[in-house]
Amino acid sequence: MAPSRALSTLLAASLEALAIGAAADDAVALAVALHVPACAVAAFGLRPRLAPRGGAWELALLGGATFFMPLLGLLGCAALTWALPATPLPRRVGSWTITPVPPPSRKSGAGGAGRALGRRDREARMRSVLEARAECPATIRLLRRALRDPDEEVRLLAHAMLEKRTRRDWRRIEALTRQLPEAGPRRGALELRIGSAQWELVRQGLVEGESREHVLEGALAHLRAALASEGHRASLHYLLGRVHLARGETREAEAALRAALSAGLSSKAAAPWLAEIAFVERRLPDLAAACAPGPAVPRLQEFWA
Amino acid sequence: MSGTAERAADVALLLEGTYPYVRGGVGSWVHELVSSLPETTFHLVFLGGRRADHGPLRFELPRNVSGITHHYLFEPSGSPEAARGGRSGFEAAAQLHGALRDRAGASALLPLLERTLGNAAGIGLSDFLADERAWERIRDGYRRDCEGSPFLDYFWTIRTMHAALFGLSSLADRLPAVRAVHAISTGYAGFLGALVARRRGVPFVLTEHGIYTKERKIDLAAAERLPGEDDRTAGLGAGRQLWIRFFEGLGRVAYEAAAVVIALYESNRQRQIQDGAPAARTRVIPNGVDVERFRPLRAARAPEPAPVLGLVGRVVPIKDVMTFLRAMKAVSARLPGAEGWIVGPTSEDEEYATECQVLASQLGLDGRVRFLGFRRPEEVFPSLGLLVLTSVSEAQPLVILEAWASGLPVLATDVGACRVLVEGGEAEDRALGMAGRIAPVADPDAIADAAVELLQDRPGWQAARDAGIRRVEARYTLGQMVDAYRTVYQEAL
Repeated sequence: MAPSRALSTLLAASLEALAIGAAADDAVALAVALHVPACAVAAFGLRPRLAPRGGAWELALLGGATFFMPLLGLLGCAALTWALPATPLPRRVGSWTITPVPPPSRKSGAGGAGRALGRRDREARMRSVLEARAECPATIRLLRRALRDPDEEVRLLAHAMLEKRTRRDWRRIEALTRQLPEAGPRRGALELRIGSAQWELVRQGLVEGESREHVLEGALAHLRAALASEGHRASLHYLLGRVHLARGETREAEAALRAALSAGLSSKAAAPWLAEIAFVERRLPDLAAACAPGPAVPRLQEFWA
Repeated sequence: MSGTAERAADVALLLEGTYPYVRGGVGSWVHELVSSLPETTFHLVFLGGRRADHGPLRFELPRNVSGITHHYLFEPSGSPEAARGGRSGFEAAAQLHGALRDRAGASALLPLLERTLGNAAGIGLSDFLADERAWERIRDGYRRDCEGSPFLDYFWTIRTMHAALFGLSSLADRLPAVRAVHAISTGYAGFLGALVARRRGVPFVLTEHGIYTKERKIDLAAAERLPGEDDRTAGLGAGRQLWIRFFEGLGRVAYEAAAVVIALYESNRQRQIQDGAPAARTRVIPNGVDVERFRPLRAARAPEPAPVLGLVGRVVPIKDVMTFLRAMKAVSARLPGAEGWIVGPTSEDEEYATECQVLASQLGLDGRVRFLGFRRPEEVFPSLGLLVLTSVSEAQPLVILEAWASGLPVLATDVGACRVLVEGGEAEDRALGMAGRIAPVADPDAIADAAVELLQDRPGWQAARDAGIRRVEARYTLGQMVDAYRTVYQEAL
């Protein structure tokens, strides 16, 4: 428990005054014997303000500072004790409650194949690359990892598979974009499809760096263009939310996700992203609320795991 | 086949899908080799897929080329020959397949191959296509290896891959007289070299720029879907495995038959040994360029590195032009005046080339990236500030040597011999300095970082340029390469 400011200041000052008196009478041993506890009390009193989480070393440092600067160090300590606001010490936790988190679903991951990539057998690593075919970010991460494989054949295979997917998605975007000039009343729906296809490149991790930023910018433009005619679609607002969030625009992302909820999106689908926004913005109470028991929790677990 | 051969040549060059119809590193290499050995006469044997795939000659043939034979692997070769139907031929074929499956010692392959294809008691194309015993062999092979996948896919895969071999067997007999054969890859060209060497008792020299089997595996991996594969099994089908085994078998036949097996650099030589080449017959002969041809370009270059990044090579997936474009996106964000030039023919894979142009547009690089088509190095090198190679597979790229000879530093991906080239191999080589930078494959950001760093660091750029000039002049000249091949031919002839 932290001593009160007044009590510690009074006690340190009294002891130090007695020490000075003893020193004046040439009773050096007594002076030191009184100076030491005075320093200790001053340091102990200042500790909650300067080093609230500190341990023995911080205490020793403060005590040393006052000990080697008789009177001056103590006065400094006292002044700081009164000048600085107190920082509360961390609340002691009685006992931890461990809640086991169930392992995330493996249905969309590439865990097994990922483990196989660590094997020494080249054929096993080749097979693991060939078998990585789920349309999900985990697959792309696995293929990118395989690009660093020490064996050139594994790298080439991973690259071929990665390029195959990337080219397929770019071709799709190009084909849709070519339809735009003659889309007529279908234009809004087409913009939505283009934006979705661009977002898919980003979601899967098929574009990185500057290209990713460029594609996100394009996706945002197409999705915004779709708003006029497709604004009733929850999926459009949801995608807008995801794109904004990927661009680090949390405020716009939250607004879009709320609009998606208003348009009929299930709270389960929006929960991970609202929680992510709360986390990024350090709104911890909102994050806790988003994680409160309910239907969205399994999805949140999967997301955060 | 069409032939214009007039007289016996010293060397038959067996060329699969390259010179004189395809520009690129290997094509240029063959042209330089032939042009630099005027005392040797060459007969060119061009192996293509289909006639329609190849346009006009891309090189002016040197005077010491005595003739050219064209053979198209996947086109009917004219009227079918009469069936032979030799029982021993089918038995030899079964044994040959068994030996290939079991990865038997390569010395067993050539006699079996000859008994299968090489004499009157062997098998002819008509036997393979129409004889009941061929059907039974195919059926047995299906039951043994591929039961569960569609039989028709298996049947046509076997037919396609084997029919080409009968055509090559016939070609081996019809080629004009030559004193030696030199294949510039394994695969069909290497197989033909093995047949000619075996039947005519002439020496067979094999040079591999890349590793053919590895490159075919990559082609197969990149193929969308082979017969017998559905969405679930794409990439894993039996057909793909059959083709891989087939190309591995062709490679082993060629390695076994060759008197000399040449690689461009040491790690490829090790790979050849691993794949079945007898170590004692292997050797390394690095590429070389005509330094004097490029020397004047050094003076034509501006003293400051121009913010122009050039990818010089065919616009094909293996060069990973798309990664170059993505890297250019990152470079242009940091060097507003930067340009990317893609200098190379687009005809080999027009679909890919179109996709690259579309990608450049979709990334907002219009005006920043230019597709220039084929240009002579003299036309573009003086304007470039950096040669960039984003390839996912290379051997020992000639273009790197050409760039150095013209005073241009290089940024290359960590493939083939690129790291050894740029950073140096043994201590003496490393002492020549870093002649550019190496970046990981398919990593646009890393490539962009290295490019920007080199272009903005003038002393570093100059040091890389000087190291490149020193290295190419000391170790990779055309004279050194030609002397080495002159010795090989003298030993063979």
